[in-house]
Amino acid sequence: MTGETHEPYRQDYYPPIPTGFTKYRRNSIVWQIFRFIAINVKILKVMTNSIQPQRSER
Amino acid sequence: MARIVILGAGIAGHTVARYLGKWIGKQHQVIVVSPRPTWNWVPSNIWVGVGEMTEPQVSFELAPLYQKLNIDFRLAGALSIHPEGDAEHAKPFEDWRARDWPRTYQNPTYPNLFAVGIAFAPPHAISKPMKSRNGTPINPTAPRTGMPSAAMGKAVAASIRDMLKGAPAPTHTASMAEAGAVCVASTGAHLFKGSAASITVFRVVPDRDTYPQYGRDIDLTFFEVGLAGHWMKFLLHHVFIYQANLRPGWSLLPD
Repeated sequence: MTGETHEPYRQDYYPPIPTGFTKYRRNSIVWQIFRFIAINVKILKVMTNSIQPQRSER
Repeated sequence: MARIVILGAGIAGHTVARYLGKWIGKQHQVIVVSPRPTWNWVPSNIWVGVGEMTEPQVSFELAPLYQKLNIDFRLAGALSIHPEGDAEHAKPFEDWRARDWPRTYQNPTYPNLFAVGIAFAPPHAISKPMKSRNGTPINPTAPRTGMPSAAMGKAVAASIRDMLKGAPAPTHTASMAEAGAVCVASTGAHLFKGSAASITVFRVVPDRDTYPQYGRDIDLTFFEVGLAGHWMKFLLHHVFIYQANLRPGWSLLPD
């Protein structure tokens, strides 16, 4: 059952560091409009996939 | 006529109250007990903390709303509750499965008792066990954020409604092992400057039987930094306060 990612974190794990281009895109109005649409689509998919069918159980 | 008592008027409790008031408020007695007279949209509190919003912008009085729904609102703090719950279900991190997670939030001993939002006790940790440099265990608890809390509240309200009509058991589920969550973190409020983090996770509780490598759907689990997060957070702020305030069409909006 346990996979590689089921182990405790090690001390050598580190976060990625953004490049200059990545930082530019984070505040680019044009790019962020596209990302706003994409994020909304992903959120709608999360919400749709989260709907649980009605059922009866104990 | 049945009496339903809701302890707490946070996101989960207020969601239960809204739907029960709408569905059965005229036929049965619904009582909400909360130590505070206002409802608070917690996700926007970060903006209050950094001075971008004021408290009235993220909270509103509950009494007038509950009066509209024929709900009896009691300003009081619950001091104790004594269900004889089962506390023997804790498992080591390596041994749990997604199916261990509660689905109907019904108390196993008292079928007329439900716990939603932060009120229920998670059966196990969902994050990988970690340790500090000096060996102190760090085990974050499972998050009961707005989206899963509201989903639980609505599911339990629907189950209570159906059980009052004769259903022998809860009819709706909201397992965090079968649902996702959304979070947007932002400390700025300018529409054209700054950035925020938009985060989704599916599923909240990892399911390693369905997703063996990561326990989650990686396409629907992401963390993105950018200005769009500001816009998302504003959208969510206004939509959910509109909904919680029972404005026209509120029940058509997603929880």
